[in-house]
This record gives sequence, structure tokens and C-alpha cells, in this order.
Amino acid sequence: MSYRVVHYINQFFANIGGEEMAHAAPELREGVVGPGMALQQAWNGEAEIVKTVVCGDSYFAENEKAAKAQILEWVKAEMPDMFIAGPAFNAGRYGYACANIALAVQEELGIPTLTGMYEENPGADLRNKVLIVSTSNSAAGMRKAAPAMAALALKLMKGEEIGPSVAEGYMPNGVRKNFFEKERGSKRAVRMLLNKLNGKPFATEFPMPSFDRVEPCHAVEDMSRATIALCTSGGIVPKGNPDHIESSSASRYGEYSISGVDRLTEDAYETAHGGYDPIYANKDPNRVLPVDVLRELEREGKIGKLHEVFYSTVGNGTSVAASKAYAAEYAEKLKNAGVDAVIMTST
Amino acid sequence: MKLQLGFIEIRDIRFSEETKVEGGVLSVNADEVLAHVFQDEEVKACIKKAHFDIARPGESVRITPVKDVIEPRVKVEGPGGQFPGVIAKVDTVGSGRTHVLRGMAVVTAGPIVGFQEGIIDMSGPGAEYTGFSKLVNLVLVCEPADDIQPHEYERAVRVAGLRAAVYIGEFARDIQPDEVKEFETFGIKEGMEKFPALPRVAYVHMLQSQGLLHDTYVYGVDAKRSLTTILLPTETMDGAIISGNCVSACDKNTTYHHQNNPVVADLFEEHGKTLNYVCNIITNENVYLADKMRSSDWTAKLCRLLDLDGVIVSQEGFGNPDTDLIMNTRKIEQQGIKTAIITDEYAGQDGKSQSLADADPLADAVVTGGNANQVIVLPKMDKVIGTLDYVDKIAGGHAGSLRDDGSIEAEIQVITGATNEMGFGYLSAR
Amino acid sequence: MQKGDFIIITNNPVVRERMGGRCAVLFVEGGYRDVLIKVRDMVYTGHTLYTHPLAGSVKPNDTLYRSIAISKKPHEFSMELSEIISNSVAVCDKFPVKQRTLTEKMLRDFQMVDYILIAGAMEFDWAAGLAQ
Repeated sequence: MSYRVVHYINQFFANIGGEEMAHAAPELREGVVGPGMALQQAWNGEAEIVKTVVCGDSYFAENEKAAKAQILEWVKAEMPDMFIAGPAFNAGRYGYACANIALAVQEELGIPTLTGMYEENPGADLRNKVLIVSTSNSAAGMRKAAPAMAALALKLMKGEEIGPSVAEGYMPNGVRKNFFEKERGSKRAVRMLLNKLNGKPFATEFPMPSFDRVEPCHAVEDMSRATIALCTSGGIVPKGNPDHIESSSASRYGEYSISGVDRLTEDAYETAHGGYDPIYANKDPNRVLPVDVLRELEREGKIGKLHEVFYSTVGNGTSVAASKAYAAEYAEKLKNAGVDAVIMTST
Repeated sequence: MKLQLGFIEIRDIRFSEETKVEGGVLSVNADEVLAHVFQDEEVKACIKKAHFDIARPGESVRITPVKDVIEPRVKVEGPGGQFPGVIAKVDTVGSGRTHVLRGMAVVTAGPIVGFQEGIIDMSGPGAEYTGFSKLVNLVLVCEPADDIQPHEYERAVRVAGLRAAVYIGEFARDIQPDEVKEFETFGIKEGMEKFPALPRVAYVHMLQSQGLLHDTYVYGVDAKRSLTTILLPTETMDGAIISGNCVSACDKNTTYHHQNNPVVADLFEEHGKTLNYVCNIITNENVYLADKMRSSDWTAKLCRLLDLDGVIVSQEGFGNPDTDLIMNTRKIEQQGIKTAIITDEYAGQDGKSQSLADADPLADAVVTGGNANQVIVLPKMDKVIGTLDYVDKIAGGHAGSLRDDGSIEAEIQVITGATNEMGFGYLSAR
Repeated sequence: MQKGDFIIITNNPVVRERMGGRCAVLFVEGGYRDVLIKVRDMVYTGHTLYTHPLAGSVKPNDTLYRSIAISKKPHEFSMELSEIISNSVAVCDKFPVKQRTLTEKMLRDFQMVDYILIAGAMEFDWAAGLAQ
């Protein structure tokens, strides 16, 4: 008996069309389609693709909830041993869809999943949550990607222990795994140093945690004349969450006026955040977004004035790339509004 | 300075009436060696009793708690003797000829403090994690005198091991070595003229120096009382540095590691071919933060003064030394000198925690000795040299580590040399 | 470091006993982590950290004792020192708590090692202390 696999691909790899067909809604096809052939060949009868899900990249991005629900339903009906998405190479929206649908299948249905893409694909943001095989940046890399994905998938289906990323070909996922190298450490260090000295590529065995250090701006010269804005990733929104900011993995931020608001009250504001106990934030939203204190400082003349709108999103599980994009957008708005400084609160 | 090492392969050790080296076999009169060891006043005062045992590769034997591992050697030509400033009188070593009993070691075992010392398994899964399982080990098991302070006892066991190794090494003096190798580095100008096209590379060797039970001695000097300085690689190879510490077993540099420093060996392999091996720079890992700043400033300054192109930095220990490692690396890189560094990781049993206590993006070429928190089950061995009394207590062990069936469940921290930060082992992690 | 401008933050009774009358010692009733937190809060308010918070290679979940030297008076806020102390708290937190009973001898050994390390770092005459 061979293992049963459901495969997810986009409109392009299903031969429906390119960008012009990216709006295509999900469809379920019998058996193997397109790149699934390469996987199936590599399995040599040990596993087979029983169904292929095809979905347009734009459709997935614009109707993520609906697309996920539909696909989960199909996968659930099939209950395969494995769900594979892609590989997506450097196609950004395809990569995003692969990683997110794989994560959903894994979390909702408890089925092992695997995808593959280029390391700079935005979908690779999820590398610590879903197993992603590292591929080249174009579909020309299929010949190398398919056997690597097929081999790793087979191990997962058999329940075998997965080795370190460097041996299995998946992207480092924040879980450090020991293994024995062929050369001792000192020899590897000498080789690494020689490559570094000679300008040749070398791969560190332990990438330093990357700190996105931001150079501080100049200090505000005169606070008593400065316009100060409040922003937060703590999810403070007007009661009822009018923009439907998600409680995790927020797909948007909100812009809300506080002109004439002296303090945030329990009746008018709340938090949309799903990553902490909301009781205290809901009781007194100023605990997260300190409008009350800023108004006081405004009255005392310590600051010029409090900016009349605040920007808010939910930081809970929201990707770095998305957060950066939101901030870049509203930073521009703040600048245009003549704001001198921002107090950003987290939770 | 040129150093010749004459290697005499030892395939087995046997107890016998007469101590001698013959046909690759070391015969040992244990009483005679013990008598020599106990001639030292400190040893006599601090060690109640001691005995020898032998552990061979592949045997179902577990040695624990392991304190130090030492390779027996003898100086046959040239100045100095074994372990200058500690056993031999102070004289610059690193030239002439030294005979090495290769394939064996003197291992000291016995409790120093109620935690920390390690395990060497001679077979089974644990043996893969330590290079010492491949040696024939002459184990000196010590028992402390009553009412003695741990650091006094540590010193006595340290000296006892060195005395035993030197005594045995003496029997290699008149033996024809199986192999002779030559090692030589040059003066600054001489080296530049000899290898004008090769990058100038040095080894920044960080020595554990956090205080008592965490010390390293260079020519008998406590490394924490020294400023960063220069050593010839052949001095390191010739017994100038000894271990005096009881830190966790997996990333402790034993005296054997210093004598056979793998970075020194592998830099010599490339010396004159792809690089010009200039010297070793030894620096410490003190507890006092101002010392760290000073020592790392000096390291970077010496690197610049020597016009180096690149260095390899190695570390010893966990936590506090991570700060020295990163300070050294950052300051050296800021001088425009390229670094490759060797460390190990404490990433948690699940491998998900932050590995180091400090980090810097300039440290972009890192070799790791693996995650010391990885859990391993070491099956029961037929024979234990030493005692299992401490297994529940040693770093990496826990209550119930020693299970009813005699097996041990613990982190690889407990294994001597498992994640060595000089790159002595093959273990790594990704 | 100005002479005398240091205080030892400790939860180690041996340190309190032996160094107490001779230099400033603040005894923390609590565990290893509590000492780190006390020191962290002081560093955040500008006290200068003198000794590394993770001194010694005894893991935070093995030993119970911790002693750290810090300036008595706040000086200037230091980013670098704040990073060292907060990283140390993070390191401490990643070691799982071990359930075990420590013998009197082990407690003594842990106290002694911690004492020797801090005394050595501060060039305190620990030999004299020991002799008492």
C-alpha cells in the first residue's frame, strides 16, 4: 500500500494560464497534475498523489479565508498521509499561498505538510512554522527541488526522524539539531576562514540572531512645541473593531481619530489582540495606548500637542514583512501631518 | 623555533612488575607510579588514597567523574621539560624534540565538587561523542582527604595527574618513534619574506579563567592574572598550557586538548600552503567586566600590530565566556581582520532556545560544536571506573538520571569533550 | 571603579557571612533568578555592573546561588551592560527547573564556588575569609 498525498499548485503550474488567470477560484482535480509528476516519480510507488488542488494566486491572496475553508474541506474529506504545496520558487504570492495553506492544513487537520520555495520568497517568513525546502529562484530548479521534497516528504509519512536542515535541505527553522560532520570543528573553521579571506562563499553553522537595529533619529529639540503621535501593536480599536483587524496575523492596520477624546473609555474602546489576556486592556485601554497621560502632558505644556489620529494593529503572529509594510505606509502619513515624534507601545 | 614531535603508538596498557614501553604496549607498575605521585606534599595532604585502572576502546566501561585527561610525553632534546612552571622548572618550551605516547592518556577521576565532572564511555552511543573513547586510558582514581576544601583538592588532583603522566612519559625517552613530525613558525619579518603572497593568520586562544575551579595555567601562571599575550604555537603543543578547571564536561578544554590543540594542528596543516601561521594570541575569560574590556582591547590591538589578515577564535565554557567571545570577535573585525570562531550551543533540550548568551552580526563565520542540551540515553556498562554517585548531580544530569536498570538519561553536557569549543570533535548542529 | 563604590547582590549565605562586615552586601531572599532581576533593575536605573552575571560555568538550573558586584550609586545608563544583564536573564530562563533534593554537601559546594568566584573577582581576601 502506498502513502496518499494531496498536492497544492497554482494556476500557472496547472497550465491554466499566467497572471491573467491568477483570479481563478480553487478547484479539485483527480490524481496528479503538472509538477506532481516529478514528486511521484521520485517516490517510485511508495506514495502517490491522489488529488491536486489548483488555486489562482490572486484569488488566494484576496479571498484567503474562503480559499482556506474550501481547501481544508477537500483535504479533510481525503484525509491523506501528507499535504504538499508547491514548490513556488520565487513567485511571491504563490509562496505566500503555499506556506499559509500548508500551515492551515497542519494546524487544523494535524496532517504533516511540506512546501518548497526560494529563501527570499515572502512565504518563507513562515519557515519556523512549516517545513519549507529551500529551492533555487526559478522553476528551472524543479529538477533539484522535486527529489529533495519527495525524499523529505517520504520520511515524514513514514514517521522517521528528520535530520538537521543542512542534511535534509529544508530552511533552518529555529530548531537546532545535532549531527556529526565529516571533518572536525577546527578543520571546518580553518576552511571557513580561508574562504572568507579569499572572498569565496562560506556558510556559518550558526547564524547570529538578526537584530533589525534602527539608528535613532535626532532628539526632539523642544518637546513643548512637538506634535506627538501614539501608535500601538497592542490592538486598541474603537469598540466593535470596525476594520475587523484580526486577533492574530493581522492583515491590516487601523487609523482612528482621538480628537476631543480625553481618555480612552471602556465603553468606546477595546483591544482586538488575541495574544494576551484582554481583561485589563479592555477595562482601561489607556494601559496599552496612554491617551490619558499624553493629554495631561498636553495640558501641562510639556508636549505641544497629541496628534489627532492613532494607528493600531495586532502584533500577535503578524509577520515582520507585513508589519514593516504597515508602518512604512502610516509613517508617511504621520510625516505629512507634521508629527515630530511617535510613541509606539507594544504588549 | 622548530619543534619535533616523535610519536610512539601505544595500542595497549598492562599492569606489570616493571614499567616500560615495548612493542606498542605500555607496561605499568602501578605502585611505583603511585609512590612517585604521592611524593608531592600537596598530593599527600589532600588525597586520602588513589588507585589505577585501565579502560580500552570498545570495552563496556564507563569512567566517571572525569577531571582531566593528559597525554604522557617527554622532552628528549632542547630546553625545558614537561609542563614548565608546574612540574618542570620555568624554561621556554616549543623547540627541540619531544616524544609522545600517542593513543593513550592518563585520566584523573574522582569527585572534586559535588557536580560538574564528566563521563567517558568506552563503547556504546556515548563513546561516539568523545574522542577519549578511542584512547587506551590509564585512569587514576582519587579519593579526597576528609575536611578538605574543593579548590585545595582540585589542585592536588591536577598535580597528581600531571605527575603520573610525566613519570610515564619518561619511559618514552629512548624509544624509536613510529613517526616524527616537524613544526615551525617564523619571526614576523622572516615569515613575510618567506610567504609574501599568503594571508597572515593567527589563533586567538581564549583560556578559561573565571576563578578557582575555573582556571587555566600558562607556564604555571594563572591566566586570569595575565594580560592578553603571544605564544608560539609550538609552545602550546609542548605543554605550556594546562587545565585547572572543573567546569561542565562537554566544553572543558582538558590538558590533552591543549597538548593536541586541533586549531594549532589544522593551521599547521595549511601553514606555508594557503596561509602563513603567525602565532597564537592567548587571552582570558575573566569575571570582572572591566577585565573583559581590557583583554579584548588587547586582543584586537595585538591582531592589528601583527598585521594579521585573519584569525580563528576558540572559546571555553558557557555563559560568561560568550561575552568575551563576542567582544573579541567584534573588536577584531572592527580592525578589518577577518574572523572564524568556534563555540558550542545551549539551545535547550528541544533545540528552540537562543543558543548563546551574547551575539553580534559581525560574527558571521561560526563553527559550532553542537547543542549541549541534547538528551542522550547511555546504556548500562559492565564496569564503572570511579563512581556513579554523582551522575544525578553533574551538570546536564538530573534527579533520576541514573535509572534503575543502570542506564543514564542526561544531556550530552555530561560527556567529557562532547561539544569541545576548540573544534576537537565532529559534532555540529544546524 | 571607585574604591568602595560597590555592593554585592547575593542570595548566598556564605557571601553574606564572610564579606558582610567588610563590604556592602545586599542579601536577596530568593533564588538565582531573583538576584539577576534585582541587578537588572539596578542596571536599568544606571548602576554599573562590575561582574558578569553568569560567572562560573555552573548552569543556572544546577546551582541555587548567585552573587554579582554592582556600583552602589547609579552612574550613567549603559546600553551594553543592560544587554549583558537582560541576556543573562534570558539564558537563565531557558534552563528548565530541575526537581531534586540537594544534599548538605552539595549546597555547601555550590555556596563555596559562588563565594570563591565573587571574592576572586573583587580581589577580596577570600583566604582570610575562609580561615575565619
